[in-house]
Amino acid sequence: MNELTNGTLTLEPDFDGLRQISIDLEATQRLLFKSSVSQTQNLILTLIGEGNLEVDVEISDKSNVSILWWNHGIATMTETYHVKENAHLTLAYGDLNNEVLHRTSEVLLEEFGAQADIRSAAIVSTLIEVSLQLRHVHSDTTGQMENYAVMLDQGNLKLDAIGRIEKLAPRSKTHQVSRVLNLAEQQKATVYPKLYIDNNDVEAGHAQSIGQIDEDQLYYLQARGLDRNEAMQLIVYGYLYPIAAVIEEESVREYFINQIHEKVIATCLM
Amino acid sequence: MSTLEIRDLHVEIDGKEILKGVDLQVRSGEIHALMGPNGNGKSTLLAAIMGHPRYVVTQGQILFDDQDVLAMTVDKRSQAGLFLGMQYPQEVAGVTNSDFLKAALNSRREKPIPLFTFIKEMEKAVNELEMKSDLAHRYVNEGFSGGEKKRNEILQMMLLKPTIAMLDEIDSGLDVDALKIVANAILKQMQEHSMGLIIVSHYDRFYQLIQPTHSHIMIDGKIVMSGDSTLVTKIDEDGYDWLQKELGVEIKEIEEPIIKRTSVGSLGTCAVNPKNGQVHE
Repeated sequence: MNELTNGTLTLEPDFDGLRQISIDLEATQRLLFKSSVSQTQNLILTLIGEGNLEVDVEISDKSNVSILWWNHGIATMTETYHVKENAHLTLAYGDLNNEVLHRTSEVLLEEFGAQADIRSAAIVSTLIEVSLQLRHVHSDTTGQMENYAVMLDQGNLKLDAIGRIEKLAPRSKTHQVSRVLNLAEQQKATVYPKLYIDNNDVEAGHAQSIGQIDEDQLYYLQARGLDRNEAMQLIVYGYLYPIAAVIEEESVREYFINQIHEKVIATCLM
Repeated sequence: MSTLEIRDLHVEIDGKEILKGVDLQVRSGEIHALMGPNGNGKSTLLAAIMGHPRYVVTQGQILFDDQDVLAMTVDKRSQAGLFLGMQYPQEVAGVTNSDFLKAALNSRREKPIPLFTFIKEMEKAVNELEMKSDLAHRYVNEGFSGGEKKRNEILQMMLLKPTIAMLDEIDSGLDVDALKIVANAILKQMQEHSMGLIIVSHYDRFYQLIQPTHSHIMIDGKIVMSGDSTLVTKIDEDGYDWLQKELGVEIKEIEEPIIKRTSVGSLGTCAVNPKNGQVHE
């Protein structure tokens, strides 16, 4: 059973497969979860309401956990994920609901062989301020981060994408990609890709792009009969889709893809 | 019977006049070969008919069965039955061929195409063009070879069944076998619903397979000579030099700068600004 006591929601550690949980920010200030050792577990967490949330998650030894945050609320979040020995965390964020968001997340790869994949997809028409850090504490850890954002009118995105490999973490790999697609004049996107590396025996890379929608692509789709709006929808959907496509767990992936599809259609018809 | 009629068409790109008064009439069932040295306006004509935003029509008319084509948006031109098989088909990452084609078909239907019908039609076209069976699930033109991209243009034509199709160097990038496959597919379309065709190609081999009913030579933004299929053979054998004497026009081959904007999809290892990042092929 999941337990809510004095604003702290403790998720049941022992379950199989998929759990979908709605978190009301008015009632919940803290979320705790510790995965079961060697288990495969999937969580879809939907945020509603307005408030602060502190998240503390432990991905136990050899477990394989995917967590999708679907944001419907106005949230200020502070998150810490502890990834243990040979455990794998897939962390996905869907920030597509035009709500103000402040989020600081730290993923600690604390033990040998810990792995984390972070994916975020955002449609930005208000303030979204995010700091995502992949911190390699132990040797032989692997981290990958991909952030894709679509900027709409009045959108303001501040994104810090941080990969940090500490001194005692040789043979670690950290990679990150951040992409921003501008669909409006009145918007502001600031992306800081950062790598801090204190060990020489590592692999690290980052890539970033900010760009407009490609007029030649629009023309190509229109030349086959799609109107400008439909063409934009397809391009924007295609832009965000890869974020979801890499999620291994089918139920989580399908959920994410469907939600993105719906959101893109709703957004582009505005 | 449908007619596409171009009257005294003048077209500019970035303030430079490329077409300087083109007249052309294409009816369904006819095959028009459009020839001429590079950079003399052939592709510009096709792009202007389709409505590429960079090509500005400054004078003249385009009529399609008495509809004013120039007053129509690009998508309306497509829905009306015009098709352009492009020289450089765009890649659209993250969008599958099947989603793209479904959207294109549905744009000209009242009710969405039933999935079963769509799959059948798609499979039939894929087989006819001898394409790989995973085509439907691949992203539009992404990672396609030059020849695959061209076949994909023809596949789109087969599914959309246009009244007038314009094919811009659709044969380049195709080997001999592929050329035959594509030519057969085009001819079958013509038989099935009497499509009209405008073909731009530099290769006699393609014209041999397609057998144009009409041919035109375009020099410096104008059609300077029209004839039947014998003109195609003459150009193939003798080139364009004799025209210079006969017509007293100067013939220049103009290098077309092919500037392909990098799409947002491409990434360097560091910051890339696609607005400034241009790739010259």
